Amino acid sequence: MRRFALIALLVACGGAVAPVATPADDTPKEASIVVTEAMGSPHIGEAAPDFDLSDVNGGHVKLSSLRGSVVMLAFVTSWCPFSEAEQPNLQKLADDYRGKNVRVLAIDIKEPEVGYRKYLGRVPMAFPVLWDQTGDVVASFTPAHAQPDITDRSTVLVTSNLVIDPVGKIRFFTMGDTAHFDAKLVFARRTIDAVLAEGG
Amino acid sequence: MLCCMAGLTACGAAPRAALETPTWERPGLGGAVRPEMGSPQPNEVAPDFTLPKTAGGELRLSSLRGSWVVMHFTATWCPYCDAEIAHLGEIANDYAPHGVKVVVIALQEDHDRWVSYSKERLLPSVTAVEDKTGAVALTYAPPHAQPSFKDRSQVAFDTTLIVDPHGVIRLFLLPDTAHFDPKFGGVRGELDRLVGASRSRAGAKDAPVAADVLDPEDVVRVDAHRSLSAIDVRLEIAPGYHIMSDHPTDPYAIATVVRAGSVSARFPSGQDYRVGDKILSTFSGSIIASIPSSDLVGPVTVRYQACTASRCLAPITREVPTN
Repeated sequence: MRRFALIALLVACGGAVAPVATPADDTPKEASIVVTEAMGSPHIGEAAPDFDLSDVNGGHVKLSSLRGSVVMLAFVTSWCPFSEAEQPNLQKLADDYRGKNVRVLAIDIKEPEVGYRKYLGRVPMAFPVLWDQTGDVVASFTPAHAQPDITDRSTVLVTSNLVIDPVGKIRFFTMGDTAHFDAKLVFARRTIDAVLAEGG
Repeated sequence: MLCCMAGLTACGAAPRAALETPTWERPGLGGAVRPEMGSPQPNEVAPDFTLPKTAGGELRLSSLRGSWVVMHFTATWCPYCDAEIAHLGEIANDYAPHGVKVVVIALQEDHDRWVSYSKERLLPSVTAVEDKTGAVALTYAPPHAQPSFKDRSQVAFDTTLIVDPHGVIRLFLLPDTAHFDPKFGGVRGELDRLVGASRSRAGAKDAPVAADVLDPEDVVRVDAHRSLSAIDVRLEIAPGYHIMSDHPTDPYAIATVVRAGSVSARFPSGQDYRVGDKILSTFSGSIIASIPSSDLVGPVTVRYQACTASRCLAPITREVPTN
């Protein structure tokens, strides 16, 4: 405590003291907000709701058709700076797990086409970016008591990430956490590794 | 007294502050910026700006010196900001009697969209300004906060600040969705502590009670008399008010200056004014400042900032004729 006090004092006074944390390592010590049973369904341990959504090219993905693979699922929008910061790291995750039975999907939440295309246009992404035009799919994933103060319920899961195991069960489910923002998806990768290890 | 509160934030008082629980570990303040994130930080002067007001005209932040200011960066697309915005108006209403002003800064918004949104969602007690380019937001983005953001101006969105009557940041909160409180409980707690605490100290003992907010010019009655060897300037300070002395012992305080041409007045000793564990040098009641020259012509200039125990008025520079 006393040591901390001294550092805080020197920092406060503009003294030449090195910062107390390394800014380059921005991985938070704890995971983003974890979706728990108390927030309602679905939550970790439950089956992921099925969906069948199209992408911009007219292709479509049915979640249940991916049984047997590990699915990394990200809910995104073009307007959220956290979604934007995470975007290149989703592609990097897809690259790093290529050939390892991991499928990456992003779902753009209820945006007009201009917003959806803005998201698509930012970073080249070699995985399906699906378009939930009506918001029905995100609604089926939104726990009723998560962020109860947010009135537009379709925005509760912006920058949420899920890992779904080969039998369709949710193994990782976090919501956008501004104070513990895991832009590099380190915590999701840990779960993916653990689920892959089970299969191996 | 409140005008002197900033003194507590200076380095002289840091050992005590540092031994207290860090701001971000206190309830409702988990989003507080950390020292390692870089500037701006609490205890630094809030970056000044001039932005167009949604209602017309311009707002310069430094023109609000003398008042406590709550600042909040918002955007119409941000669901958390949307849940908060009505409660900013409640803060403005609840704390207006304490001299607190609330300024909301719309970040990179289309003007028409913001106008219709703010008409519907924002109480008129809040001053709305628009940072169309994000240039001002950029000055409120600590360089090591949200390191993954490429557009650095976005670091400031949904942040909340408390700025004291000297323009010094006293609280700087980044959004914290894990402990989301749209009613700003943490900010209100800090306002109570910062503004309310100084009020209750003022109410103690038998300190004279200040008249309800006076015009800065009305707080100090000034007249100047020429004698053979000096110009004697009498300052009569209204009951319940004080001004800083000519040597206020506080880097943020505005020193009282009385001069004729380039010649400054000599003052009596200041009176000790206690704020927490810090003692400031002030004047109250009636004092005479003496300019040691009688052959100067032209008016006498007087500069001061007047404060009560709970708020400070804008600094003022006046010209006083001699007789």
